[in-house]
Amino acid sequence: MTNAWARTFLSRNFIIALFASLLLVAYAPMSSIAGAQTAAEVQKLQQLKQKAVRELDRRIVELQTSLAKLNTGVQIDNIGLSASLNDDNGRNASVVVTLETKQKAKELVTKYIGELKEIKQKVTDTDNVTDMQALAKSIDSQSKLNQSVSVQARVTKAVESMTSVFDKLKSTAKKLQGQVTDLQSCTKDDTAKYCSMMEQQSNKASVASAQSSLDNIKTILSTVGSMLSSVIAILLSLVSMVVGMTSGLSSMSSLGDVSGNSSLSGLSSILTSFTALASQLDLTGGLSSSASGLLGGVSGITSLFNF
Amino acid sequence: MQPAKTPFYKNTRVLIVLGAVAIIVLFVVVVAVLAVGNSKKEELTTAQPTAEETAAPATNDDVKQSMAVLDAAIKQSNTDNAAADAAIKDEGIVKVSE
Repeated sequence: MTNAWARTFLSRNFIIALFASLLLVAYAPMSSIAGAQTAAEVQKLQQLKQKAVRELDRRIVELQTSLAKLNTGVQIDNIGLSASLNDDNGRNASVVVTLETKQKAKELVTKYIGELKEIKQKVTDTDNVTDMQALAKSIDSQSKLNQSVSVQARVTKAVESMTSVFDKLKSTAKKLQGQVTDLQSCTKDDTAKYCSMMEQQSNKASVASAQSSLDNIKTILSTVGSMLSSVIAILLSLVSMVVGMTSGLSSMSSLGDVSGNSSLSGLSSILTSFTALASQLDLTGGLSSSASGLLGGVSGITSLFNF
Repeated sequence: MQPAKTPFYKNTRVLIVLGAVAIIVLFVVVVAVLAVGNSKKEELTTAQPTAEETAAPATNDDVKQSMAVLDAAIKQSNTDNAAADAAIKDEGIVKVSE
């Protein structure tokens, strides 16, 4: 009996059948664990891809908008308002963002739009989590580089817009100065139109006040002109620095993680300089608004006369 | 027999005198032309005042239009300054790897 039992249970066939059963029993949980791992990886890959594409799209749109803005020029008439604004050094002539600066800014933006599109393609083509994680790290580490390219374009545009404000302030001030000078002198042929009004004491006082405002406006404009001239000079040097710093780099898609890249270590200080320029622009913006308010006051006075 | 009379153009003294007279006349003519030219130029300058002097003062409508253009330029500048500030802060950035 014992021998028969042993023969049955220890036979080769029985042992094979036993192992086969064990394997069968173990397969279900093992396969479900493996399946779950694969599904989690696929989900992670998809999540990373979506996040990367969204961020890359955001950067591309930001640069495309900057480029569109840079492609829109401003009309500068460059009218000389007074000796202080039209001096021998040609200060008036220099209160314009040069074509060289704009060209450099635009070329850099165009180049990086292309590079970001390349990375986006690489992200789309990636089919494993490890590669995607490496790409995600690269994208994160290159954010300051992208930001610098965007900032130099945006600040260039902001400076250009401010030169337009300065220009319009000058031309409006010049027109109003012409009216006030006529009122004060009353020497023109058409004095009858409005010079009789100047005999009234209150009108004389108003015109004197208008002249005083115009004198203040000229002082403000002189300050804004000087500040803008220096901002424009610094802008060119900063844009050139960003161009120089990025010109030696390989394309961003093959650049990888740049967190330890020594050639990009100066980007933070360049961004700080751009921040300083933006502060200067805010200051000139405030002064320009004050000048505009004063011009409104002068125009209110001259509109009382029949010009 | 009388000696043959030397023609005046072969007389050295006469030629020298004639030459000197010619030079003096030429000099006077040049100076006169220059003087007349200068005086005409001066007349022209005084007769034509600069455009700025002759320009009629801007009308109130001109000023209104200028103020409107200025307002638009200031608004545009404020928008561009805000965009530059936003780019510097880069608030929209998303960390992809986190």
